[in-house]
Amino acid sequence: MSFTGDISIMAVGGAGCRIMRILRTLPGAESVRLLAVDTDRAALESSGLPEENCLLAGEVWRGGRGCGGSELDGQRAVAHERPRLEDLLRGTGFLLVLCGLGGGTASGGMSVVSSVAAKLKLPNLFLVTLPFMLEGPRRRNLAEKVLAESLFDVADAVVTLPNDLLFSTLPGDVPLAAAFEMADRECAGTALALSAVLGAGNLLNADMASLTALLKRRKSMCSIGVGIVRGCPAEEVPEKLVSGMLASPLLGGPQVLKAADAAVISLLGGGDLSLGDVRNTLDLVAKYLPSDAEQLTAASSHPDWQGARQLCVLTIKYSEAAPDIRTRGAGVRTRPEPLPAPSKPASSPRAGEQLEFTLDPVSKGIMERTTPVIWENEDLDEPTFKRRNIVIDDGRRGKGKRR
Amino acid sequence: MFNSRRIISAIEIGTSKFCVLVGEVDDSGRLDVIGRGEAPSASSVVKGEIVNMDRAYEQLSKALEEADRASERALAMSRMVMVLVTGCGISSQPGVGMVLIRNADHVVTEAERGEANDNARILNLPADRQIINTCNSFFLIDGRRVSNPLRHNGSKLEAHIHIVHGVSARVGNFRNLVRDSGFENADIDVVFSPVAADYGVLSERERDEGVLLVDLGAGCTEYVMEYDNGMCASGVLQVGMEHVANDLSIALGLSIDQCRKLLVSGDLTRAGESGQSQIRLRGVSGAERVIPLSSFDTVIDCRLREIFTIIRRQLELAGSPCSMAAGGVMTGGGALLPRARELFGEVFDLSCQVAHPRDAEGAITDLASPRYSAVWGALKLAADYFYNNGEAGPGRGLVASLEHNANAFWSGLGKIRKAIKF
Repeated sequence: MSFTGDISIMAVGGAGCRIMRILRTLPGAESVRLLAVDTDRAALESSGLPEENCLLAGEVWRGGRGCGGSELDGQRAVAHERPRLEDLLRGTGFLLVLCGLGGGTASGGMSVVSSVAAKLKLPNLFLVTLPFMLEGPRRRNLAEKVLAESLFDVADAVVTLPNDLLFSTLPGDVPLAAAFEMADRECAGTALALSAVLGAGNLLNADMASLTALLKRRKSMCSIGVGIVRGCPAEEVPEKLVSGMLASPLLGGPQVLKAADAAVISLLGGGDLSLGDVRNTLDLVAKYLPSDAEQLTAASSHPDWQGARQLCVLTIKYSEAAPDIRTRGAGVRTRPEPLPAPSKPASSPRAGEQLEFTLDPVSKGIMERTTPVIWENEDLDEPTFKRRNIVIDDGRRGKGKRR
Repeated sequence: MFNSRRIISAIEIGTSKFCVLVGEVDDSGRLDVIGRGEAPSASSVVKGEIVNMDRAYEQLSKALEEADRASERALAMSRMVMVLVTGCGISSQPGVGMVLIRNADHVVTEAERGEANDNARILNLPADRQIINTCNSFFLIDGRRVSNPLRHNGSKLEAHIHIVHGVSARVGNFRNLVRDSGFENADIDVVFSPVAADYGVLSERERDEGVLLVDLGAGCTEYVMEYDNGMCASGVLQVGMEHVANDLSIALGLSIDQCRKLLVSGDLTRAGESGQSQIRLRGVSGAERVIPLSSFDTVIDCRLREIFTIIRRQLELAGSPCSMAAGGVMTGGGALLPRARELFGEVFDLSCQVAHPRDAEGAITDLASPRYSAVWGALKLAADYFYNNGEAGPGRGLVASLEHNANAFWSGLGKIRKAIKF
């Protein structure tokens, strides 16, 4: 099995649809199920996907006119489509969501999309771009908020790409349209490359768990470089791939590679991809990475890429300020475990039963010895922020929050 | 009669405070508050329900004593006591009663309306539950919707009412506690707290246009929804400001009392307004810490948003019509938190105003805080019933008086537009 029928790439919102328009035309795209969700009919149509793969959110209510940057409207519109979203995703084995945060539909809809994915128990990966600084602090804050509240805790893995990286590498005279086009192209390539990383059964493969492990460890910023080479002599391929990758606008230059804490390297090629190709390319990439960086490598082949190669490097730079989750006990940023059944709350053992010392006790404070209030299988006496797995800064600097 | 003063009282046995109001109704039906007593609940009430009867008795005695003193010993003359209840597994459902209009000219009179209402109250409840209040939602005359059917022509009248019922034993606790505190001879009636708050704070216009009232209290959050002068939904969620304080205390390592004070005192709001981004506090461990205000906001937002979202969901499940032209109204102690009002607006997509007791008059005038909305409403409710039902003698429960004086009661509806039964 190559990478594969049951991977779905879903674009959400205007930026997502723009990326989807490019992604659709790339080789290898037809083996992935492409979906798009937006509140704007025109944007949805411009993605060029067949109608049954598109979902116009809140059609009755928004009238297909978009939601004008209001994340509340976006959330409401997408929430209306929950059942249709579930239908759309049924039968999918892996979900990759593409979107640009900071606008309306994507920012508002993320919480819905991520919760639907969680409900369907879909392994998922969110590839999100953060707005340009010049778009103003509101959008930036909104994007950060969505990341913190709707994605980090619910999604299996989140790859965040700051759009600002574009400016750090592109010369100032590049036309804006071209810059955006380039960014979109990178994102599209990345989405395909990541689905290739996760497509099992190839030469070298990295599975979801290892990628998740890398991305979940700490709050991180990612950057991505994609190099594509077609029809050139085999001995020049590795160099060309790497130089193409280094020139990628969303990578931010070789210095980003040099500073990375971890990297996911994937090489995609046709049936003619040889072991030597893989080794040469990976060796070359490794020279740009710090020696202690963790590497996750993957190589896949697909008939569509006959005679062509794509190298995709995803660098992960953990944020200095955020504490390392590994040292704070496991399970902080993983998906919340289902709560105990209402009839048998963990905190009220029957008389005579020995209290079991659990590793992750949820304190209910003064509500400990009261009749629990249960709503939709959640014990409302437990602090909401804990159930949502939100980490609160309590001012004990450096120590993090002891659990 | 030896005692001619019309004294009534209202008692709130709440999670944060016990409050007793004493009122006197004059000949024109005007209600004067003549005494008030208040005592902290001292953890005898949790999530709106009594958990420690003995301590609750002590605290209630303190509040009663204070009210008695303030009212110059008039409390003991109370002939009707209205007790607020909440929690108690209270839920609500609609009821329908039908009556054929058989009189010669086919005009609806009080008799038919009363009969239709009584028929609507016939409900197959489980043995352990009892009806607490019923309120009119609307009437249908031959299938046509009217808010007041009196003097309408027709052949069939249907009364649609909103029935609030709860677990008898748990409601009984409130009744017993009050009876044991010295009201052996008075009528003790219970009223579901938001129904009373509704009566105490909303205007006729708001009820007519459609309004959602949320009472964010310490232990519970209650809501009622009114449309076209009829109640269409009500309920209680046993999560309130105590949960917010508890969340803060767990999240930030502060003591629970510190958190309660922070929420009540408005320090957080003031710090936010003065442009501070951090607040300096001494936690349970004794060390002074600098806690970002955003941490407080996040914890509070999470909890309140959840409360409102659940209420919104419950309203949706009840299938309530969502035309609320008058918008949203918040009351209860939680309404004093500005952030709560913002979140209310966000979650329900309604304007939000804070309701204070309406027309609170008399010697005790500092009833203006939304904390007193429900207890004031209960007093007003008691006063209006008492006035409109003539002199209900001692020993006759309100239900009995309603049945015997049905006509007198319904004719008094000019004053009590809302037909609330007990």
